[in-house]
Amino acid sequence: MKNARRDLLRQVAARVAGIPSVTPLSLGPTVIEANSTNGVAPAVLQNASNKTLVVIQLMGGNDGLNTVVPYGQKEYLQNRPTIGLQQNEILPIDGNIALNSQMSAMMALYKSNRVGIIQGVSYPNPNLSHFQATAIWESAAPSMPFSNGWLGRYMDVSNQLGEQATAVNLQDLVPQALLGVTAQPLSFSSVQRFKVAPLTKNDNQTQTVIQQLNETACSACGEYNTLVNQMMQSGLDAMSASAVIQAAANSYTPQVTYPQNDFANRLKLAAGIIVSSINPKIVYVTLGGFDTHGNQKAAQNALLKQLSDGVSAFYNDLAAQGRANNTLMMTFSEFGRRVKENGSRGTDHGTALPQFMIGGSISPGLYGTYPSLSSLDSSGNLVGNIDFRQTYATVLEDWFGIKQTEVLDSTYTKLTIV
Amino acid sequence: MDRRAFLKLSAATAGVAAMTVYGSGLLKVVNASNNGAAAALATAQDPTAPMSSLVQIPHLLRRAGFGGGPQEQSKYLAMGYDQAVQYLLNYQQIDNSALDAIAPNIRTTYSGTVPAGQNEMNNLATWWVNRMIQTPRPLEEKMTLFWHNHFATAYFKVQNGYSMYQQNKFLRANALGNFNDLLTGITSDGAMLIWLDGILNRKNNPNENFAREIMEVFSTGRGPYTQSDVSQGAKAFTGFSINSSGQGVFTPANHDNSVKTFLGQSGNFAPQDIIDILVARPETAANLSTELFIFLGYPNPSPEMISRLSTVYFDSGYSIKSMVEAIFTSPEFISNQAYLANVKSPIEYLVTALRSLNATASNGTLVSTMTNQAQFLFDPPSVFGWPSGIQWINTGSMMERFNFPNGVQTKADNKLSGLDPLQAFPSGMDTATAVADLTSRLFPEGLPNEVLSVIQSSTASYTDPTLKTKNTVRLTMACPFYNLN
Repeated sequence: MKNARRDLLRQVAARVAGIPSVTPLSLGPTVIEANSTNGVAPAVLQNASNKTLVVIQLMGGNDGLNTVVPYGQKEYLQNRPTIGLQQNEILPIDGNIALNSQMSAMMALYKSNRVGIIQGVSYPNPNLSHFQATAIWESAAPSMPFSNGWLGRYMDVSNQLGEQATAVNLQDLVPQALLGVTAQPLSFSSVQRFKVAPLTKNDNQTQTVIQQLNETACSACGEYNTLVNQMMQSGLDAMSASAVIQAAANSYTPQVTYPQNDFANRLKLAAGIIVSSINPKIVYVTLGGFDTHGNQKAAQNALLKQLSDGVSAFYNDLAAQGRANNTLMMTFSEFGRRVKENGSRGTDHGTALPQFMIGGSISPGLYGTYPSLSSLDSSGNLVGNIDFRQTYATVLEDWFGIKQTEVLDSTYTKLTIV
Repeated sequence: MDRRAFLKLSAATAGVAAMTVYGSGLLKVVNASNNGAAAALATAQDPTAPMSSLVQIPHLLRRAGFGGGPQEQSKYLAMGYDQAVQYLLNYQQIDNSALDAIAPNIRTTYSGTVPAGQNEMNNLATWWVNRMIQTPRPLEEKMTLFWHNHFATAYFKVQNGYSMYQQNKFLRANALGNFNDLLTGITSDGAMLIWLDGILNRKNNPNENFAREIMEVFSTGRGPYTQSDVSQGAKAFTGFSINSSGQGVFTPANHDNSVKTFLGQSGNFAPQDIIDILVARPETAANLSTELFIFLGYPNPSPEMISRLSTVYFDSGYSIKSMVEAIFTSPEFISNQAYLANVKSPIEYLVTALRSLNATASNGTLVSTMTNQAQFLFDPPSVFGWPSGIQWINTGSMMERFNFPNGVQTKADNKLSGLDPLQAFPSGMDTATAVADLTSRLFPEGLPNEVLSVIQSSTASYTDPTLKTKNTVRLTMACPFYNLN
């Protein structure tokens, strides 16, 4: 038992000098597993080294109707007398569809063929609970229960293939999407704080001692104390990755000026990590505040501007660094919102919404058809026509180059966007 | 089994633990039962068997409160487990006038959702952290924290320290109260009316936010209701507004008096009718029982445990105090599988350290710790509250935990700190003994020998008592053991 522990620790220690990796560890009961964890060799379709997926999660349920605006359908303004966007508040894409005019930077990217918009994304029997809908999108398993995420399962496959790849989560808590059966992301929200602070100016022992302490505690507890093991492994991974992350961030010079806000700061950090030797498979960022039950317009407009300006700066920076073709951005949110505005100049929870796919090598344009505002479901919500797992299948096969059934529970029709 | 391996280890080190746990006053008592405790731990192979009586008090104090230093441990140890439970539960008998006299430095009247900047939120949050550190009624604060997470309401939307403080006082006053009172009070709570848009929920234009969350999060949980119940419930909750002094008021003239069909019943339901229906649901009993047991006990309680607690809920007429008492006096709570079975939340991690060490930290440190460990009091991320258990652990959070102890102030940093390096490391006492003593303030059972010796040898490399103190505290808190609850 002790020897097995030492082997594991040696593996961890081996990573100290090099690229941070993803720690395999058990997270308890799971329903869906990547096929590779069953001992079957993963099916590879193409080499996906140097490709990065940047996930942008819009938290709270983004009102898709005021993002990608169906201004050609008369029911749009009829249902939204106070929050509906007027002609001077939209940027038409065609005679039916427009972007919210706060997204002028996104529109510029769209016009230069860097954006694909997937319309009406949902799934059968959509759930209107934030908690449950988020879990459904992140796990890609609409039937409960589940405890891991689709990207985590993909990282399990990547580990199985020996890719030594990393998923990087740029916030304090780890989203379910990134939890694998064994994979855990590298997670931090501040580069400056992501290092062991010395006790004194001459302190050169603390990091080593903390490492030794955790190793000793674990060997004392045995292999199978899950809590103690996970703490140790997260702690050791943090210390081993710290120097690499510091170097990546400190040596990075953006080629554009990013907006001054937290979201843009995280994208700037993401760019630094993408061009570094870390070469992450996934970078995960979030933008919160989309649960606009009341006084929606100003709040959502500000968020969409942040999203659009941030994404645009990030894309242009990556393009200047020669990485735009190897980076794919994907937005998602747990649900869209009700077609009819409520009495508080806001919207209640809804269903289908658009997803943005942005990158230098995508097939641009509109995908799917915009849901009809005149044939709603029994709760007054849009009926989607693209399953979100079609987007995931596309990313898995055409971006990451593995067979979708390694990660998903079934086979979904792909889009031609990637 | 993980638990077994750990218990075996604890057994091996129980001697050291007992020597250093309770300070000189009770050393004799503990020593006398030392062999018995070691034997109990060594044979504790069964996860359902009781944990050693020696570790029951530290366990109880971690769960019912925020741990405690040698004096506090001794006090409860002297009572014995059953008495200690009653003392903790009947906290209204403990004088708390000194802390009650300290109010947070925030606006003192309601002034609507006018942002007062980060300062107001910082002052409110540090006020509460300091109250948790100092309280003679640990269970009162622990349960107030439970309700803050259960009825999670956040400053980022309420933007009003006065309303947030009023809600906190309400939750504290009802921390072991009646669940119907809690649900009724929170429904007309000023901060909640802003947070879940109750004030925007109008007769002719219902807003579903509160109606959904009172079921999904506050009472039944997901399952028994449909979207129609959400819409109908929203109508029943119309009629609330906030008056000029910040109180939620219900105005019958603004209430939708139509007949609503809610969870299979029909009538011209007012808010209290809906609340009465919800508290009487078996799903509410099960949901609340599960949440309470996970918070105080361990993850994945058995269905039998939940059904027992649900019975207490109904038999006591929705008494939270009865439910908490049932948990603390259950065999499950003092079983081996409950021992160190939870992960300390950032607040538990922070408060336990300062309380046990009788040490201080600057308000700046408290604020940055709550921010960077993602548990800022009065500002949970959503109505679902904070994560729990292992969800707190990732690379970034472990780094934060490794670094926080640098902000623990000794008497050398701050005269108000009760952590005196000259007492912790008096000249003449050997470093190894002093390290063991200081370590056991944070982890009363004492660390396993091989772990302790890593800290002892590292600390021996410093000569300055302040650095010895800081190094010992930091390394103890970097151990997985300290981070468990």
